[in-house]
Amino acid sequence: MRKNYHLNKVIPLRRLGFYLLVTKKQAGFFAGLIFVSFFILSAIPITFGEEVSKINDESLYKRQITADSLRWEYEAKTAIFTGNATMISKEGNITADKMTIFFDEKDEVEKITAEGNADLIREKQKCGAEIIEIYPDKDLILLEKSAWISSDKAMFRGEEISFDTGKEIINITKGVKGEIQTESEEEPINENMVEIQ
Amino acid sequence: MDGEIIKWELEADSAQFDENAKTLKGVKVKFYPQDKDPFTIKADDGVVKENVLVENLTVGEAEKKDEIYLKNNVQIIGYLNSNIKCDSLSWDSISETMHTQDKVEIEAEKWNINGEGIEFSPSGDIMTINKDVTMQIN
Repeated sequence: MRKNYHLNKVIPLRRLGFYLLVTKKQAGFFAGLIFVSFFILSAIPITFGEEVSKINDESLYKRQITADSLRWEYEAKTAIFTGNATMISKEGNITADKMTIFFDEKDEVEKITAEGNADLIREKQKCGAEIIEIYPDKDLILLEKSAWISSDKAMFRGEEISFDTGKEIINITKGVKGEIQTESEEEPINENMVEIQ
Repeated sequence: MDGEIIKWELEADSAQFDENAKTLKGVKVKFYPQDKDPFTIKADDGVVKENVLVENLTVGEAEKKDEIYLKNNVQIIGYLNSNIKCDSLSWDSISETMHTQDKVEIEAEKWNINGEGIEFSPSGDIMTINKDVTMQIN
């Protein structure tokens, strides 16, 4: 039977006959689905390419941060940006209410934290959390507390999401829930839609 | 000056003294903060006022303060390992802070900052920029 899915709308998996919850009984199914979802998240074309501003390749600078105000604490080696903080960097574009950059003794960036309505837009994914931490030397991005990640095909939520930006591996842990988008040539979804079981 | 800690030294190409103020040209002020590297402030023009009466609203009495106002091509060289440029800069002996509402440019070896309004204590290690901040990091 033909599957009539709404064009370009995210359809909760439960409407397709699935609902993703992490339980011991569903662990195998969950692992498989997450694997497929990672594939979808990472394999799709540049979804947010138009939204991602990039540092010019010829620029001398790797990161640009803008904000309403800055408090520079020299001894603590921290720059604290508050109010409409945004950062354009190789790790992606981040927006948050507050952003803190921690420098090491050589004035190199050791860690970046974004807090309060923190969003990260990368070329292939858009994600967010209450706190985003970036460790440039470790090629690691951590999204903590109410974390979510989406592409134009899938959306997942979890307590913590980690990116290994070197290997392009994404891990979602604790309380994972997800949605996957499907497409059709037909009109919007309705109650008579065929369900996948 | 034996036994006194020199907090800052002032040089100028020329100076004109009157009853209310000392007007300076080609100003160079060198600060020697404790436990930190010294730094220098240069400006084309400056005004030094001593014993300016101000009302202390907390105590309810008038008190005296010294003021330095620098303007035109102000450069702060070597403060927290950076160089700062702005159009004007004020300091007074009560707040002991340097401040301006002008646009500022700060350059260091591995980063630069642009913004509006800056405040810092010459002897401290905290600098705040109040508005429209952009930082670029290498």
